[in-house]
Amino acid sequence: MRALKERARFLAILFIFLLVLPLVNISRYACLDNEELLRHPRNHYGAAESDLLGSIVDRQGRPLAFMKEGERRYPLGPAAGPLLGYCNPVYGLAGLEAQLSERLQGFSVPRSLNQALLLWDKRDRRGDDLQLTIDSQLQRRAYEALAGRRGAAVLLEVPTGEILAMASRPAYDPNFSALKRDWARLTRDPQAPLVERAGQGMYPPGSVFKPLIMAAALEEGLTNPQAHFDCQGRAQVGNFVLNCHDRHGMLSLAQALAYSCNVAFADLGMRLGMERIRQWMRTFQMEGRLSAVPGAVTAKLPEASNPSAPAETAIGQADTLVSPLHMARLAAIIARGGLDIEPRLLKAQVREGEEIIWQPPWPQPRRVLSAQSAQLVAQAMLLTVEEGTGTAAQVAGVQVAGKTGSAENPHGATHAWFIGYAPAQKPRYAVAVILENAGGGGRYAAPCAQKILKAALASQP
Amino acid sequence: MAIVTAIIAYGSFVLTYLLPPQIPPIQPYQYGALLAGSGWVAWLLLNWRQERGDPCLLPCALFLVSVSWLEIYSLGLATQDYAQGPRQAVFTALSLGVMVAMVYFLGNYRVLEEYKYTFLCGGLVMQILVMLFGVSINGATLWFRIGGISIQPIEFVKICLIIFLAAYLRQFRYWLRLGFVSKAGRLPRKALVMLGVGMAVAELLLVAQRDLGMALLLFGIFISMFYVTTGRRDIVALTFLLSGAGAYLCWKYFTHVQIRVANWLDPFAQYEDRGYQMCQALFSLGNAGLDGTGLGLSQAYRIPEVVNDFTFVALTEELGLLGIAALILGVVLLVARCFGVALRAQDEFGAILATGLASLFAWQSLIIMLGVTKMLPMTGITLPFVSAGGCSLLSSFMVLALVWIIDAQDGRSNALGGEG
Repeated sequence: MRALKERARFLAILFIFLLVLPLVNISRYACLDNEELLRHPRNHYGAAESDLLGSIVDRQGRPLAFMKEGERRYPLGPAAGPLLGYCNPVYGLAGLEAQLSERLQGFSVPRSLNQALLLWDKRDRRGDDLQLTIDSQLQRRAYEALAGRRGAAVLLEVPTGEILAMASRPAYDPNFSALKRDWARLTRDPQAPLVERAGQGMYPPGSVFKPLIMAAALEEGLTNPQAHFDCQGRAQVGNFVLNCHDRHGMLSLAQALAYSCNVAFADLGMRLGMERIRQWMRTFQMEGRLSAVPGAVTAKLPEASNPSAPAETAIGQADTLVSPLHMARLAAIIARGGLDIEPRLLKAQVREGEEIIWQPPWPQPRRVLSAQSAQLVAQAMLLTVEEGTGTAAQVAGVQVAGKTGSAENPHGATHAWFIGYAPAQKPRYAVAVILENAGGGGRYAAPCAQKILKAALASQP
Repeated sequence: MAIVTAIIAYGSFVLTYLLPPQIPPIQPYQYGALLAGSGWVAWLLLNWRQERGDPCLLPCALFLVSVSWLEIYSLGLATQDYAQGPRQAVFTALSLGVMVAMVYFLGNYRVLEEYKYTFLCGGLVMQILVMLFGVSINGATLWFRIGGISIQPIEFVKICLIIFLAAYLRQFRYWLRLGFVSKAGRLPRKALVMLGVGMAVAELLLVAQRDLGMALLLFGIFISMFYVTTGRRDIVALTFLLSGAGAYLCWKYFTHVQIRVANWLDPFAQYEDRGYQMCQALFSLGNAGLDGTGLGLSQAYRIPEVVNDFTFVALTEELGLLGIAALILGVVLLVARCFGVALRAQDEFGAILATGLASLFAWQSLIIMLGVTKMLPMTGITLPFVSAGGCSLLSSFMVLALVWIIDAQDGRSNALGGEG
C-alpha cells in the first residue's frame, strides 16, 4: 500500500510537469514566433485587424485602399481591382493587399530590441501606409481604354521607370459588398477576372518582339542600317514555310520593322540563333523577379530547338511568353536610348503619415544597348506610327513611336499588341497594351494605346 | 477557493451583459445565473450532508466550467448558434444534479468492485451497440442519436472500463506483480496475458473505429493504473515498446491515421481541406499574444468545430498566454487534488480507482491540449469541463462524484477519524 502510494505520488508529479507542456507551443505560436503566422497569406486575421491596417495611396497621396468603419474601401473600384486585390475577413487577401500585408500591418520593424516591446503593443499600433507609383487618374483612364475587351495595359514613366498605370480586364470591384455579390460568378468565370494580367499575364509577344531582335542583330553586327530585304510573301526555312502578311517587296531594315515584315525578321532570327536570342532576352531583363513590383512574373524564354525555331522566335511566336510589363520595359529601354531602369510600383512605406521608413533602392540606370542601335530602332518605331502598321496610335501634335503585334495563339483570333512611347524626341511615357483575341494589333491595340498616351500627355504639368 | 470560484461564476453572467445584444429572445444573464446558482446549490448540498470530500475539487471544476461557458456562449453568438450557450448552461446544471445524486445515493462505493464484470460487459455492449446502430459524423461511428440529442457512449464506457480495471488490478495485483517469470505456475501469467490481450484488442477496435483520441486516452489510463498497482517498470517499458510498434503498424495500414499524422506535420500542405481546421487554429493562436484579445473578442469562430475540439484554442486567443497558463493551472490543481484523494485512500481499490480517474482527467486534458497546439496529432476528444458537449460534461462530473465519494467515505473521514 505504501509503495503503491509512492508510485501514485510519482505519477502525480509527472502529470503536473506534463500538463504544463502545451505552454511550450502556445508561447511559441502566441508570442515568440508568431510573426510568420500573422503574415501568412492565408491568414484572414490581418484582413480583420480592422482600422489598424495601413492605407495604400497613389503617387499624389490619393487613397487607393483604406479602412473605414471596419471595412476596406477601394475608391477606384474595378479600375484597380486586380492590381490591388482585396482584403476582408471573409475572402481573405489577394493581390497587392496580400503581398504587402506585412508592411501594411507594420510588422517589419527591426528584429532586435523592439521585439520584446512588440509583444505588448503590436496589436495597438496602426500599420504603415504604402505609397505606390500609380497615378489613380491614369489608372482609371487606362482601364477605360480597355473597355469591352479582355486584356491589359501598362504605362511607365520613361525617365524614372515608375509604373503609372497597370490596368487589367475583365476586372472586379474589390469592395466587400460588391465582392460578396459577385463572388460565385468571379470564381467560376472562364475568363478569369481574378487574374491580374498586366504584370502576371503570360502571352506570346508576336511582332512586338521585333524591336528586340532588331536591336540584337544590330549590336551583334549581323545587320546594318543600309541592309535591305526582299519579301516575296513567304520564306522557306528548312522545310518550314513561314508566311508574311503581305508581299512587301524590297524593304530597308527600318521599313522591315515599320511594316512588320516576317520574312526579314525570320532572316535576322536565323542569323542570331536561339542561344543569342535567349541571351538578349536576359540582357533586356526579361528573366527574374522585380524587387519593387510584387508578384510580377518572369518571362518564359524560348526552349524550342527545331531548325526553324530561331525564325519563329524572332517573329514572337514559338514558345516565348512575356507579360505586358516586360514589353513596356522594352519600349522604355528604346525610348531612353538603350538605358534600362527597373520598373517600380512601390514608392515608399510611410509610418504615422509622415516618416518614410522604407523605400525600394533607387535603381541605377544600366546600359543594355548602345546609343546608336537604340537610335536606329527608335527611328524605325517612329516610322511604324508615321506610316507603317501603327498609324492608329498617332496623337495630334506629338510624335509617337511604337510597334504593333498580332500574336497567334491557340485560343482563337490573334492577341492584339501595341508597345510605344511618346513624345518621340523627349520620351516621357512608355506604354504596352494587349487585347486578348481581339485581332490585329494595328487595328485594335494601337488606338487603345493612343488613348492612354493621350491621357498621359494631357496630364503632364 | 469556493469564494474565488463564486466570483468568477457570478462575474461570468455579469459579463454576458457586455456581449453584443444581437439576439433579444435569449437573455444571457438568466443562464449565467443558472450556471452560477446550480454551482452554489451543488456546493451547499455536498457540504450539507457533512460529507468530508476534498473541498477543492468542485470549485476547480466550476472554475473551468464557468470560464469556458463564457467562451462557448460567445462563440455560439459568433457562429449564430444562439442556443449553444443556454444549452451548455442547462447541461451543466443537469450534470451537477447527477453528481449530487450520485454522492447522495451511491451508498458504499466498494460495492462497485463486486460488479466489475457487469461494468465491463455494460461498456462492451454500449460500444458494440454504437458500432451497429450509431450515426456517423466525419466518418466515425461514435454517436447515438435519440430525439435530436447526440450521445457519445464512449464517454461513459471509459468510466466503466476504469472501474473494471481498478477492480481487476486489485484482484490480481499480487499475480500481476510477479510478471511473466514466476515459479507460481501458469495462472499468474494468465492474468497478465489476459489483461494484455484485452487491452490490445480494445485499442485496435478503437483505432479501427477511428477514435484515435480515445485509443490514446485508454492506453494512457491503463498504463498509469498498471504502473501504480504493480510497479513493474520492465513491463511498462515493454508495453511502450509493443505499443510503439503497434502504432507504427496502424500508421502503415490505416489511411486515416496517416492523414492525421501528415496533417500534424504540415497542416498548410492540405490547407484547402483537411488542414484547414488546424491552420485556422494556428492563426488563432498567433493572434493571442501575451494578454489575448479579451473575452468575446476573438475570431476563433473561424475554426470549424471550434466549441467541440478547439475551445482551448479559442480561450487562448482571448485570454492570451498568461490567461491560458492560469487555466492550465486550474487543470493541474484539479488533477493534483484527485491524486491527493488516491494518496489518502485507506483502501487499495479506492486508491487504484482514484488514480485511474485522476489519470483520466490528466491524460484527457493532456492529449487534447497537445493536439490543438500542434505538439501531437490532433484527435477529437474533449477537454474535461471546458469543451462544449453534454456527454462530456456529464461524464466529467460523474468522475468528479466518484472521486469525491472515495474521499468522503474512505479518505478524509477515516484519516481524520483515525488520526485525530
